[in-house]
Amino acid sequence: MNARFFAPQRHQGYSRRVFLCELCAFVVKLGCCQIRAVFCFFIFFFTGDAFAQTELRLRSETKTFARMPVALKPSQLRDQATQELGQRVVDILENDLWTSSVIAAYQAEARRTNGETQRLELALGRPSGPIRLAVQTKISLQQKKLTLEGQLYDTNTNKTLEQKIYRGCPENLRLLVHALADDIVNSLSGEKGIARSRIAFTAAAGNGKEIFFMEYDGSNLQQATTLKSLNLTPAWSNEGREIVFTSYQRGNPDLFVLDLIRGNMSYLIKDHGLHSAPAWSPDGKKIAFTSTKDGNAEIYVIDLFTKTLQRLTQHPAIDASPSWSPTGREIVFTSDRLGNPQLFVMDAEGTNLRRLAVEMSYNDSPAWSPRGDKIAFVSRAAGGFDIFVYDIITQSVTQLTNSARTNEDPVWSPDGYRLAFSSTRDGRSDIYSMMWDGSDVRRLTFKGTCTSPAWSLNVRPAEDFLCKP
Amino acid sequence: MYAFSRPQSRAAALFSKTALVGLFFISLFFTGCPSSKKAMQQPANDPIEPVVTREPEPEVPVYKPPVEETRSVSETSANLPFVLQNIYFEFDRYDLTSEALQTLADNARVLKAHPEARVVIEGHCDERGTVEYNLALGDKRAKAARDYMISLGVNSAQVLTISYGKERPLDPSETENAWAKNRRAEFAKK
Repeated sequence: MNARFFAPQRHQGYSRRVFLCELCAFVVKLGCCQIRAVFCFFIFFFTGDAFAQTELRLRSETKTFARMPVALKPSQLRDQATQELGQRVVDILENDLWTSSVIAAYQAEARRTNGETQRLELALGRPSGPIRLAVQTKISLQQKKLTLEGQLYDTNTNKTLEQKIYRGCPENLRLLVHALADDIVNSLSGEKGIARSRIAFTAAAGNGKEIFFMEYDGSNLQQATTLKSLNLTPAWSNEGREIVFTSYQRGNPDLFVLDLIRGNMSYLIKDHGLHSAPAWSPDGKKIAFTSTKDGNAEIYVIDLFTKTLQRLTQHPAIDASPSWSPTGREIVFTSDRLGNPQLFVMDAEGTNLRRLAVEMSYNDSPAWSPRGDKIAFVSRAAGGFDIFVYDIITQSVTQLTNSARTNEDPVWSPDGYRLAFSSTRDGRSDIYSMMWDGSDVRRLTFKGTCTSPAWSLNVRPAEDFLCKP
Repeated sequence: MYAFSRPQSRAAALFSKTALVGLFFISLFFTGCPSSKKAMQQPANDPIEPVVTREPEPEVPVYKPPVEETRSVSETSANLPFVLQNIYFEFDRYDLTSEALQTLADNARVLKAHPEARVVIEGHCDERGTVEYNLALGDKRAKAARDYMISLGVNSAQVLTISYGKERPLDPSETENAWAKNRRAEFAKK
């Protein structure tokens, strides 16, 4: 899928033969997609002599996709910035770039402290020749003002590819570095990056459950609600400013919207029955959710501007867990109308219902990838629950987790390269993230009661950069 | 000769066609990265400090904590002298077992004898399956119990339902026994 070229890159220590072999392997891997094979053939055919000194880097969503090597130089310090601060900047940047799935970041000197990136680096190996792209950071700290300057440059020609300055509150150092990482990822791959995204989830607090949220890598954990009741199934707004969730605060499971900047809460739905599993539409104008207000669990959509409700399903069985396609034209959901939970897709108006061709008998919790080509879901396997991915193009199913315990609630990162999920693999339920193929599993929480992760888009409200009054 | 040269020229034509298509792809490849160029051409010292320009937002109904119910103790059902038994369900099912039907018939008799009593039927599930699906399943279980009791002549105003999904297990351990205990409908006096 989405085979695309990175900018051509000269690579001294990389022979043309190796490159051709890689291309051949690539073509074979894509065997089923004839068009792409032909495309690759042309590149192969015509790049013969013209690109004798140039290497083309292909990336596709197969196991072979390559990361771009980038060297991270030690930070230059100004004003009151300390050595320790500079090292923190490089460490955060290194982790962000590795997590982006498209860049391999190497610190100039062996001072790495992050076990995850070390593991990834070990698996990939360091490039044999010198790394051509490098990032130089400069950091200055004055009283209440942090300035981070990032420069991406070509070490051969000393040409600057990108240079930006980020300013903010010293407490928001991570956020400034995340912004830099996203810009580097964007300028090298065209992807939007995920470093500024956040993950919300529910965890036990007191007698009930409250909504928490954290940065995408598990840092900076914060509690969003203190309602002393059951609060479940959070979902982010498109602007990353609000969280919609189910709360039993009033006694009945209703839907509320929490504004994280203003800190206030408002009703979205207040009616008889259960209201849960909200999902914000890709255009931000609607929220789909499950409700039993008419007696049975059905999928509804509420228009946030007109506040009108539209009922999408009409069936006496359970219809739950809606998830929008990235175009907003379709919705995938769980229904037990065939006797056990199965995945169905319908158009956003509730028409054109069809079942996803998944063989397993208990499938639930679908999540449509923001790239549009995959639907992650949970299936009840022999020992427990595991996460699978349905590929819409090949109509094939791939198993991503394989543990005797439960792995549930998959949600996609905004770039569609990672999945967050809850798992009891280490004893009790916590939030984890992994790459789209099941590799690079990272544990993000350590509370033991965390479920229902929700991954925001890669946006942060402007207020987040500023110092808190 | 003629017969020989024709396929050759066809091959040549085919080659020039493929060459053209190939060149097209190559040209696509060279022109295909304006987005990254745009990023590079940004002014070197362009600060991206975010500017806060938000339009005033429409007033939203602000949530207020619930007001305590004003029923006095004598009006609530909590002190009424009866006990309603739980009913239990099979895994991922909300149909009533014969045992459950029997229990519900007993419960219905009690409620008919106390027309002033109000109960909330709480639907619960075991921990297997997702939060969202189990919330819907718990709702189905509570409603199945309510519908049957109403069919036996209980006043519909006497029984309300709520689902707690898998959030309130009786026994949190991960055994078949615990799960069987947790797949239940409870009758809470209101």
